[in-house]
Amino acid sequence: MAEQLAVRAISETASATAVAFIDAYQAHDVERMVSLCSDDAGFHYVPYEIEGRQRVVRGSGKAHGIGKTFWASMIDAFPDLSCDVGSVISDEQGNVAMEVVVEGTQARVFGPFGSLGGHFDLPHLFIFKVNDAGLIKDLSAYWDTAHWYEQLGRFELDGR
Amino acid sequence: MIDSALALVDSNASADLTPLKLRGPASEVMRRYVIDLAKAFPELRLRIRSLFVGVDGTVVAEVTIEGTQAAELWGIPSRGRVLELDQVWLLHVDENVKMDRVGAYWCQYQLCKMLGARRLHRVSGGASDG
Repeated sequence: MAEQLAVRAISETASATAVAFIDAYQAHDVERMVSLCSDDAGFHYVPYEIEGRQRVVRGSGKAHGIGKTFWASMIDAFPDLSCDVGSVISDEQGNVAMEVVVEGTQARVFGPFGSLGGHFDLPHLFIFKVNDAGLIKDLSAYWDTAHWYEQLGRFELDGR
Repeated sequence: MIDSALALVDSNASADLTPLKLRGPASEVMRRYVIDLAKAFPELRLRIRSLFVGVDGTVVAEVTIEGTQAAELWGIPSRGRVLELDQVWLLHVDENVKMDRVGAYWCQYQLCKMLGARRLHRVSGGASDG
């Protein structure tokens, strides 16, 4: 019984951290998002890839680095950005998967893409690994950029 | 092989393959998905990168599918390109140890780009590929 309670506690603590992270995104509070990540937390936004003139920027690095930049850029470009949490799946090892629909209306440039004023709502799957201190030590996200670009009015494969 | 895989799926199971906008009975959706992929990629490989099982019985699996395109896939003609696509699958297993809910996420944009398509394609295909 005690073991069962302990297992449940780990699962629930990890879920609470993940939900708090998405709540902070919903509140456009990037500092709070980052504060929920450990200092060396990994950031893996699997579909993210933008081809600049000089180089390709990919969504892989650290939450305190490229993660913070990405979230701040999203909130700047989509000022009404919001998140709707669906299912939350967690285990006793600090793993959490969360289905979230992210939506927003583009008002400013995002990366190399100027605003066409398009609105998007896009299913995401986030995977968090939460450490014993209740901080995110690794974060991955999946979505379909094709669906995103279609909604923003971009149909060519380079996204422009 | 497809039938043996589908034997693990409950007869009333539902599937939602978000990137393809394919939703419905898992037996139909998964059959179509697997057959389409197997035709286009005769040597398709699937590599599990990470996996955990939630306390609710949902398996969360991050996988990579790999292969060389040999035939049309969802309106994208074969250019002999290599596919190496990251996906995540959510497989809920019921008390009879059968899957009763299946979901998947991946980036269709990445898939189209890897296969050399110039425009975005869904499962229905149809759009010309320029």
